[in-house]
Amino acid sequence: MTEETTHIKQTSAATKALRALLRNPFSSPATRKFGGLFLKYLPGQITCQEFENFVIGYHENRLAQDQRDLFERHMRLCPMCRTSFTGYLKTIEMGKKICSKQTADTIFADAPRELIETILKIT
Amino acid sequence: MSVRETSDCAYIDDLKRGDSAAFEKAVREHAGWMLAVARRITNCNEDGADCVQEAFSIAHQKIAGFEGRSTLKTWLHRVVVNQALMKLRKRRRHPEESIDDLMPDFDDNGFLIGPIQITDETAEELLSKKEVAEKVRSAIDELPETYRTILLLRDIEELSTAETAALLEIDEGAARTRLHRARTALKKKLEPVFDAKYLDDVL
Repeated sequence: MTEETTHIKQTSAATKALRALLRNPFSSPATRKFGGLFLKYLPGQITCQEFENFVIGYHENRLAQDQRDLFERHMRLCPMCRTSFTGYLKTIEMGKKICSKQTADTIFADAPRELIETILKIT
Repeated sequence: MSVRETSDCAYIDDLKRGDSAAFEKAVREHAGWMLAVARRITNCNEDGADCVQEAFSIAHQKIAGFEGRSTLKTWLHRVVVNQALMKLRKRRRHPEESIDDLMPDFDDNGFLIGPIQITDETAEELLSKKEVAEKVRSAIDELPETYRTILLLRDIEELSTAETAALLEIDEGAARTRLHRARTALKKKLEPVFDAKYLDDVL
């Protein structure tokens, strides 16, 4: 293998690694530390912890536009927070659905006749 | 069905005049869902029934002053929620356990420590499995009362942050923080449910 071929191969491997890192900086423990530092110090980025602090504001549509941009940029970049936020939304939805089912069950299957009679004695 | 979706009450004037037939109609129409709300908040069937009874007693006394700025259903909803919260306050005796262990962990760089799994199944698909539905119910019930209450008021009863904060006698910022912690704690408790491997193995 010539010196030139070796150099091309090394450059190509480095480019590939860099691309992979930018695509997903948290794909392995080795890249996590770099990814964390990248988010902590690079302008225009927020850390996962800052992302967490923005979650309810984002969900209630209360963030300023620049905060929304930071939040969404982080979500695009960080698969962990993307997954975590998806779980957050799914949690809210499941809570709503399970409780509305309970209400329906109570109304249709558990009509409280005795309770109604007791209440009607008020008048 | 949302508590705000009902149409205006056709017999409201009769109700305000103290007509007993109109009152009976209101009781039959609203007692069912009010019981569900009260049971959910108090987490107790008996206390729930007491709250509905007390709520109708208050409604009977105060209906003459009902100005119609909201629907009757919304008004009754507020009354029964208030009764349920009062019941909780009377019942609360012990300090609550902390939910700090259910909050996410971050490393020194503020990076979220995982792993976090999530299944592609929708909330509806997940809840169609009896075991999952049961797990969600028990996870909500297991939350410390402070967090369970705010989760129910905001996410289930769909009260606004301002209304919730007023009922709980806290400021709106504190209500938002508490709600976020409640949802995050519930999410942590539901992590096994969100893990596709758990669903494959257990169900």
